[in-house]
Amino acid sequence: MSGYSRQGVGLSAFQNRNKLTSSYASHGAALQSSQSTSLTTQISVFQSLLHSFAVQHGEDIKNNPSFRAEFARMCNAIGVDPLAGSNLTGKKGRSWWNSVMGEKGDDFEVRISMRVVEECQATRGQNGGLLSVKDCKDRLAKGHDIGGGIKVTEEDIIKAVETLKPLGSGFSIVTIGHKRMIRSVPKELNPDQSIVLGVIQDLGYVTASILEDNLGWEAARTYTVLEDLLTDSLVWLSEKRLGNGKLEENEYWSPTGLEGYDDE
Amino acid sequence: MGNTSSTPKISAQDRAILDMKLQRDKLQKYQKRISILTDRETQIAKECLARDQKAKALLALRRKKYQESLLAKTDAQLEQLQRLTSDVEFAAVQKDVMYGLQQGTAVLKQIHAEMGGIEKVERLLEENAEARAYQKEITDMLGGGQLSNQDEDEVEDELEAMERELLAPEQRVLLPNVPVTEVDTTVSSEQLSVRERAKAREARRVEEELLAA
Amino acid sequence: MSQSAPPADAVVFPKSHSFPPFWTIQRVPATRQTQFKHWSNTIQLYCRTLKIWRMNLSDHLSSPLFHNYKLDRWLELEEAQMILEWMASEEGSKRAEWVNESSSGKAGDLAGRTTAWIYWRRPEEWADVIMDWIDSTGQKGSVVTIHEITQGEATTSQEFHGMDPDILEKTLQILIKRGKAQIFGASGEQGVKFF
Repeated sequence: MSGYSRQGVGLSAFQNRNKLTSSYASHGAALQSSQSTSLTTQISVFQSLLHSFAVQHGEDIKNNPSFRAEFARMCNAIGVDPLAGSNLTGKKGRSWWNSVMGEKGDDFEVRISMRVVEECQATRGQNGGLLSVKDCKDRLAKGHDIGGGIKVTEEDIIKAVETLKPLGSGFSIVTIGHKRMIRSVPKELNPDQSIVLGVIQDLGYVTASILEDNLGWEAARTYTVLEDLLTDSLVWLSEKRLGNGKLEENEYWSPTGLEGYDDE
Repeated sequence: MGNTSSTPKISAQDRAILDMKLQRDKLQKYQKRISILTDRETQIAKECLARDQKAKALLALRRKKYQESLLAKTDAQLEQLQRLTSDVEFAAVQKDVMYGLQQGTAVLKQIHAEMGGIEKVERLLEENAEARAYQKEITDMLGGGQLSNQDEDEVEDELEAMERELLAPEQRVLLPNVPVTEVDTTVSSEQLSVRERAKAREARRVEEELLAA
Repeated sequence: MSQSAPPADAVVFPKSHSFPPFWTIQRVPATRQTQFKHWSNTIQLYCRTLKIWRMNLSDHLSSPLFHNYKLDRWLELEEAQMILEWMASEEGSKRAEWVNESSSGKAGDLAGRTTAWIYWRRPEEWADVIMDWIDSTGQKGSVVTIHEITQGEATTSQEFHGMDPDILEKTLQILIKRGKAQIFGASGEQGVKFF
């Protein structure tokens, strides 16, 4: 949908946001809208409680799936994302989940799970919480070694995601087009979104015309799905200006394969 | 940031070291710029030789030598200053340091004057009245004892080396074939060089007289 | 502009630089945040490689940094300003600082802001780097000239060689505050003593 007006990007965008809320767009929607300090205080109180709980019961959480599920439900209930990195004390840049489990988990599997969580976290900003299994495998291979010189396979990663499911943070494997993807936010993709993401896989991008011409969708339908995908950070917008100032049709790109960046 | 009032942490020795290092910084800067000039002067000397203008070539080399000697002088002064300023018994040598700094400044001023410009250096290649006036100017300046005897000898050696380079390759190759015994070679080459030097000096004196006319 | 500045094509741009959407300022806040982070890293990389300490945006609009000729995509001045404004903020980890004030003097008004220092190292970080150099060369307690720190032959292999004088000033001020240095001497001929 063309008509992106530059005035729309106001400098309010640069207001200092509470790091907690900005790191988890969709799930924290309610939190985002409310800037009240009392709410943030409550959350941090709950978080530190959860933290101490996790430290105390780390072994149980790690070893007992049903206990883990309970714990995950507890986090969910107060709208806290145990995977968001900036929450609490713990190793700099890693979520407390990592720092609790990472210390205790000697397991190959646990370590993979932790690395998968890290990679999803690191790339969430640019892919909206949808990372292909293959990309995850590549990133794992590049990063610090799992240990034992073992090469992590795609099946290992899929298994790891299964163990993360009870966390309730939306970890699941979804198939988009012909690729298996790791979903790390709870919001499910509706069928239209999955279709569009599938189409993007082939070209790298998609335009409204492509959807309308090839799928027979009406303008309203393509507009809705594309806006949704944009809002969820699942696609990025590309506007190309021609020499005469005119706009070509907007392109919607999938951000897969982009390099991550080091958090400050 | 012009905090010149003395604070307990900054001593007279510190200030002397700063002055010495400021001179060193200047020298480093000047060295870079002078080397551009001296490169050009070497080239000009070669060109003049190729045109069979030996006097001009010699002049260019002598100018270069002068500039290099200024740099060497400052280098030596700075080295000495460096030793003095790091002397633990600074108070004892402070007067010497002050004198050394004064000397250094004087020489740096001379170097600065040399950086006047590459256009002037180019004038040597010209044939007009301006060029001749410039040549006289340098000759006068250098005639005032600016170059030591050793310097003058080294300049002539450099000129000779350049002349040899100008010779056609075949002629150069011939030289080693001359059959002379070791002892003989030594004696005769010594005599040769003395004679050649005298010849060159004589030729130079004559040409300078001509220029002055 | 140091004599040792590498050629412009020495910069190896990251993948994001060839990703078309990166040349469109994203509307969605979360996505834009990520985009600006990438841009910040790229600008820092560009300046670090080419030893650019202060960047006049207008000078670089047609450089490979802000104009990807292969992709035929570029940033307008206002867009580059937006990114730098973000870099100068807390969110952007203060990786840039405007040199000149805006024409109106009002906060947030980008109209006159075209030149910024780019801190691929912030002055606090430079302070540490310089102290390390002083330590490792045994120069604690000795006097150095301001000039030789960034222009001397002894520092040509150091990262801070050729540093913008204003950034050096900020760095030294930090060291003075930390009690690690003292400046003295006449203006233009100053020396520093490190403790």
